[in-house]
Amino acid sequence: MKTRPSSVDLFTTFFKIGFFTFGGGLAMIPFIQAEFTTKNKWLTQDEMVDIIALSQSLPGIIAINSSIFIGLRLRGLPGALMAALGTILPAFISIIAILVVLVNFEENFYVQKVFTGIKATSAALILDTVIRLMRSSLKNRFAWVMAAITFLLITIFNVNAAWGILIGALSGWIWFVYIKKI
Amino acid sequence: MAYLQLFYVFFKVGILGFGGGYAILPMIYQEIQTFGFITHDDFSNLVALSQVTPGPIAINAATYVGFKTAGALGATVATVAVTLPSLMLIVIVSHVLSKFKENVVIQGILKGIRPATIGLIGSAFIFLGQAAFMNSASFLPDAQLTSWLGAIQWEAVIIFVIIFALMRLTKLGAILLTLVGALLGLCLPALHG
Repeated sequence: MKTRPSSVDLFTTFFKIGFFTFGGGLAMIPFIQAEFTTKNKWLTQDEMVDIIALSQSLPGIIAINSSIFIGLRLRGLPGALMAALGTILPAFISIIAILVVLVNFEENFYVQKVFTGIKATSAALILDTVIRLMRSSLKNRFAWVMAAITFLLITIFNVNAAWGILIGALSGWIWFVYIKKI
Repeated sequence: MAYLQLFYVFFKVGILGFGGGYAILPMIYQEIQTFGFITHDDFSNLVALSQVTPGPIAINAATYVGFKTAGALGATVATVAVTLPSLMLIVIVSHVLSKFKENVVIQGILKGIRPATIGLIGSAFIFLGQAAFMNSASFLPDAQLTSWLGAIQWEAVIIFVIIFALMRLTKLGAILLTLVGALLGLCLPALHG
């Protein structure tokens, strides 16, 4: 049975996620999956994937787009604002702390070692997310082919991610509306 | 006035920042050059910093440039500016989508972007993996296999395997796993070629 988080829940959850996401929007996905679909059943896997797809295809920072989308869906405009605030604050506070107090933080030998570990973990978390999503959301041949094509376009042919999603959108439209009535 | 310039520049970044994270850094650099917000050295610092601070790169950049230009208020103005386009756009799009969600075309589109996104997340694994396991020199086009293999940071690969195993064998969540990974990173020695 799905429940809904409060606006404060949204803030604290995104603050947690924001704190542990290093290196940009897509690294957030495993954490969103953990907090919003696995731990708490606030979203289904499919809802989460749809939100990420839209967040990537629209202008704007993917991490902010996703948090606003999720906040909006679960608690309207107040939810969206709290979610955005939760995502922004860790970054904001860290940068200011580093500029004022922890100068040369990034050059510290131990900090670099810690981040080697964090980056390796991030890769593992994303791989796990991909595997789970493949199992739960790729239900037919069209889906498998589409996922494979997008993957190849982006990794091998260096196509911009936004174009990849756009091609998916067009393919879905043509396939499901004209070729294979839903 | 500096605040208005910051707002303008970062509002633009908020709209045009396509393709995620590192792709927007060149754009930020150009805008900064136009207005002279920070020095070139400061910008290099920012690039290094964004790797080790939490949060989206655009936010890190907005806060950093805003603070260096006009203190805490500058940081706030820039950060709000970079967030506003998302807020406005998503509210509109979400509203439109909910009105039309029964539409067959919209349904077809959603059925297309869902698997495409999974492919995208798969590609994110490849890119994050490269960043995690390798030194940047190995991205050069003339890098040979031996130097490619030599450029792998094996301690990162080991941590990857350990964390992946922990994920499958235990109920540790993403946050705890990140802390474990951080600790492993601290404790393991460098094992480069």
